[in-house]
Amino acid sequence: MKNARVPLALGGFIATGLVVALYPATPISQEPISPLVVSATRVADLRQTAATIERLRRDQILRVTDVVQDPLLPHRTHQRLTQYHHDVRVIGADLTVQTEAGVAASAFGQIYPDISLDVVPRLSATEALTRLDPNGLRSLTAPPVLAVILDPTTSSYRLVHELQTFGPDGLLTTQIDATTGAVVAERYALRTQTTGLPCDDCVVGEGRGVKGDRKKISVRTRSGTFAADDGLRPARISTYDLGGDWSRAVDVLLERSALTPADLAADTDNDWRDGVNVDAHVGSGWTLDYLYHRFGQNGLDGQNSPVTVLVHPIDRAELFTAPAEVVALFHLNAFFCGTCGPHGMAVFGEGLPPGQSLGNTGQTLDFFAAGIDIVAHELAHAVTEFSSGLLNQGESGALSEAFSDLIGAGTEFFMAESGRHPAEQADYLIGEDVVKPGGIRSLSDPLAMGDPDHYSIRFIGASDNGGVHTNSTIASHVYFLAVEGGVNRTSGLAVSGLGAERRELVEQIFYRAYSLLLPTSATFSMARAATMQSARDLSDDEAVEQTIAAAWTAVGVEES
Amino acid sequence: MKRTLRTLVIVGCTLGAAGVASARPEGEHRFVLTANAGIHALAASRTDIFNFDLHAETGTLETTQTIGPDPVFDGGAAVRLSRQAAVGVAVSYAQGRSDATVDAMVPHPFFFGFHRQAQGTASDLAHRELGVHLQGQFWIPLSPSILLTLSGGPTYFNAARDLVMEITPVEVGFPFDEVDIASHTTTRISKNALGYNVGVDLAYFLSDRIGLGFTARYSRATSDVDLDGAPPLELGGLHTVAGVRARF
Repeated sequence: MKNARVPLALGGFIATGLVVALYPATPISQEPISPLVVSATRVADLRQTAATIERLRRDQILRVTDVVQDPLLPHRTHQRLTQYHHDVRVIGADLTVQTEAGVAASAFGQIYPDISLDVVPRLSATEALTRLDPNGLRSLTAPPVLAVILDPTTSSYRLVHELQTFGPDGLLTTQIDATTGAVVAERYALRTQTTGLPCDDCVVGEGRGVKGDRKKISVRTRSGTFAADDGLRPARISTYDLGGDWSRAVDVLLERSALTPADLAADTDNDWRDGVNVDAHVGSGWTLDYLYHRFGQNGLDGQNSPVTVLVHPIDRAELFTAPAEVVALFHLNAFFCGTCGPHGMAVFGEGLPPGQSLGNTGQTLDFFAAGIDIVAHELAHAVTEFSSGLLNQGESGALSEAFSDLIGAGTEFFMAESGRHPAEQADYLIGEDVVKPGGIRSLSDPLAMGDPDHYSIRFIGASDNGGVHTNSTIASHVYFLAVEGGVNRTSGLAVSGLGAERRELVEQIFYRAYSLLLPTSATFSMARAATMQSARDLSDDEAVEQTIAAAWTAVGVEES
Repeated sequence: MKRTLRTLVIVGCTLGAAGVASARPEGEHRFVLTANAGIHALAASRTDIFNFDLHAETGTLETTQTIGPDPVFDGGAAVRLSRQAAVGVAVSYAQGRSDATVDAMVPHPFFFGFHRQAQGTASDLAHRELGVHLQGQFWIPLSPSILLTLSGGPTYFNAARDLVMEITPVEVGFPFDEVDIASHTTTRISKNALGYNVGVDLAYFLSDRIGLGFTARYSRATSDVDLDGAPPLELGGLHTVAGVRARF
């Protein structure tokens, strides 16, 4: 098996194989779809929008589902309003409204005011699951949700049961027509990197990461040993070492098996030698540190909820014996599963054994936890999930991936430039410490990795949930241009960057836009408007907003 | 101290006034006794640097303490061996209390080489110093009632100092970029040392036996304290004292 090249059976970290399958189905309603798109930042537009929102709220069509205080501008508040149709949530229909002293400052979103759909399902959720999986090979991983969706293939509204299941095809979110039982849409549920002392028993140890770099590790004493359970950070980080038992890992993700303190990664002398345990646990902490310092964000959900990290979900030696879906999940991937456990779980795969390489690129694949940008990327998916909830498909999914890459690169730069971990080689490559040589994506030159750097050459197929990873580089390249400046290779347009000394401001602009201002079904165009609004909110310097606008223009994204 | 000085001056004046009329020419007295009080000033402040282990890393603690000036009490006796040569011994005792600034570089719980700075003050640190000064003296009678004495010789010191050797940091909380000093631990070290002294004394005899005088004496010694990061104890300094003289 030496030097064998491993084909990617499923979409993993490096390939773009995550699939969005859209199935033709009989529509219930053939009403023409005419969404109300809101992208308002001017006073006149906002006045009109506010009146519309107020009317829809009175009619219980829009309901406030979240209110967040702006961590960077404390006098600003962000409301998230979700559309309901006869008490059933309409997926992808929501608005975010930024207010100051009760006055709207911006509003973004998309709602569907003309739905006239019967919301009494003819099929129960159990019947829908049976239709989906007559042989009983799949297990539900979250309670079924009844929802209204827009079916883009038929331009119609549908009442669906949304089922999240795990089975031979991995972890999937499937929307099943609640009337006909037809599968309307199916996508991989995981947000992945596709191939892409406040407590008495808290102690600080040291260890070496996969690359051999020396790091401090915040742990607890437990029964004469030391456990990877960080009690120093307000968001408690627990890193569990599953010892390569992939069937147990699957059971844990499906909540068929509970994690116990005995599963915590442990060390007997507090001089940690397992680099994966060290990198995953320490990298998660560093990501929380970055989020707090840069954005004032408390933990992944803004409320310092616990963070659960799983490592060694499979043994590297099982590369050729484990089922393909397990290999794809635990060898070739790192992911955040938002529905696993009470607060989600981040899982970092094992990569490939020495001597093995990826079939499509010939790159070797180290332990995924070895890259701080990958660790931060995955945890940033949790930030998105707990805030804007960008849908993991199409342009909103690409924006979510771009945001995660921004957080990944931002964490690297923060650690290196602040002196917290000067050994970190900060760059605009994603995953370069894991996928060698080169990494998986480049924010500075996306074309070099085969990804688009311009909207005109975006991927428009169905795979990878509609190209969420591939197309993410269009948006993440904007971040690079805004900071460093440069010429977009496709458009030839040059952007004068704000400079590395204003990186913090640029990151804050994108963070606010992506986590607070954007709705779940955001488009690139909305992202342009939201980041420009955020630039106006955070800086009086007009050059900042102009730079952001110029960067979006360079990648071919204009305001709609 | 004021009260002591006043007492000595009154005693001196009283004794002096009683003896002016019967003053004898210099050269006939063999013994001189002195009793003084005054000020003891050290030449420099003291800085100690100690290392400590915290959060899997080494931190540093730097304390700077300025000793004195302190009150000093001094007494002595001398015996003349020839017309101008004499030997004597003087004993001085000084004590006081002082503050020390404490600067600590405290390791961060999450990052290597990312120390936090913490500052504080350690108050009421005690110190004392006993000096036994053996002296060879050279007497220079300037007049029958004025005696200038030059002296020099070895000094034996016994000293004790309170040093701040440990702190207890208290974390302010996440993100742990600040840290306070909750308390400090002082350790009293006691050392003996051998040094030297040189001095000058000017005495004015109000009578044949009793007089007043002024002494300036500089003494010096160093003593290792056998602690990593702690410089030797610098002992002695300049005594400027005044008091009574008696001769026989």
